[in-house]
Amino acid sequence: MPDDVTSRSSFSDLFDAGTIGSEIIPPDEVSATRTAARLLTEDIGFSRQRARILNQEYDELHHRSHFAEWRAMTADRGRASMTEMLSELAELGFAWRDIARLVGVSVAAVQKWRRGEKAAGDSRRKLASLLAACDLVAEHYEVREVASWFEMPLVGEAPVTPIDLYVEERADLVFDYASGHADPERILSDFDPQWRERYRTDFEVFRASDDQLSIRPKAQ
Amino acid sequence: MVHNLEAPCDSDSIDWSRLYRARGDEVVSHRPYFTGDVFERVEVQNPDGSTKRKNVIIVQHPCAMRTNGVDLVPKLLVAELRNHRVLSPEEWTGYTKNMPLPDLIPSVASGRRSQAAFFDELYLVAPERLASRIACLSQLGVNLLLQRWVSHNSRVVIPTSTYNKATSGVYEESDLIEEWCEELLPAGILPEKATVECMTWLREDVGGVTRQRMLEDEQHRSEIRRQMRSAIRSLADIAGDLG
Repeated sequence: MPDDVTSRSSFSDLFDAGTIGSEIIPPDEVSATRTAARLLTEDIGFSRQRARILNQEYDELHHRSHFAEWRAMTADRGRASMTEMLSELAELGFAWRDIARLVGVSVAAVQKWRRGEKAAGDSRRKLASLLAACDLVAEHYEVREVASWFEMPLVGEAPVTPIDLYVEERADLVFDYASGHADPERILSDFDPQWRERYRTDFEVFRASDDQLSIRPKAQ
Repeated sequence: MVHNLEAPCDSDSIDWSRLYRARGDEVVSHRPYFTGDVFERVEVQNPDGSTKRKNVIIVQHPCAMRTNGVDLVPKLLVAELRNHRVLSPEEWTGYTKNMPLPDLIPSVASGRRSQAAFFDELYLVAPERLASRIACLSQLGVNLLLQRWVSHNSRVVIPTSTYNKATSGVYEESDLIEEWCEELLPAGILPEKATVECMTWLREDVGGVTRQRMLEDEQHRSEIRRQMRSAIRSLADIAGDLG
């Protein structure tokens, strides 16, 4: 049974190594490298986990600071009259129908406010909030054309715009998108996990021979 | 891939108002006629030559409604509206011969409140017979109507997001004309004149491209609106000085 003897001998050698009075056998070079690599991997993995937790905490903090600042700016903006606030949004280049959507009322309601009719307190606060959100993205993130920025899709493959995010009460995503801290596709996935499937299309818009935009199947 | 007929909202957040830009007294009379406009008591002609009055909706594509950008074609294609029960969002994938119009007349509680356009009940009408407009669809509503109308006629379902790319420029044009007319009415400029003025302004060449063409690109729309509001102020000032 030579094999048994050999294996028993190796087993006891392993357990004897490093005990008092026995000879210490240094690990071979490959083992040392492997041990160091394992420690490094564990170390980096731990740091990565810490970074992830820190990142989440700072994301949350950033959201909270955005919202705190937004509230303060809204209070400031709310001092203006409805017509003044509407005029300012018009000067930024917003469409009335978009203002209506963003504030959650009909286009007719906005038209009445423009003519000087009174608005409910909630509508007034929402209008001030919208202006404050515009201020925030313009001041912090140097968005030059705020209205244009609000109506541009986040990515080419889907028609979702910051207006859509805002209307669905996801101002956190609007600010994230403005800040550039998050990838637009990640923001879209957060907003609508099905967006790729929802907006996949076999059709494309092209300019036809009569110079009008038309629709045709995409080339295979 | 498979595209299905879409609904304006999900079943967990029903909001039929998303279909409409204006209903009842919200409708602005000087807004240019557009695909999806609903009219009441329109005189239409039966195949045997007799006439009757029906509520109808324009189904003609926006680009096929005008001869020169301002004047409507001599005959417009419309579909008849009838009372119809409210379909759930899931049911919108079916009923392929209809365009559901839930809460079309929100001021009433009777069966008239919700209606549907029937694509197999079509008529050609002269624009002057379309006098009493009771609703205008939102851009989403127009896209859904085009999706169902094209599907009914061709068995091809095109996503509304694709229609949106093709129609948002012309829809924007209607918004701007409405605003131009509305803002200049107090200065004594009648809507007919204001509409022509606005179209002329939109067709002006600005650096090798017209404003009308720039409206097709969402990136330029806010800039055109700003320019237009400035132009309106100038015109109102001139009209005020003359008046």
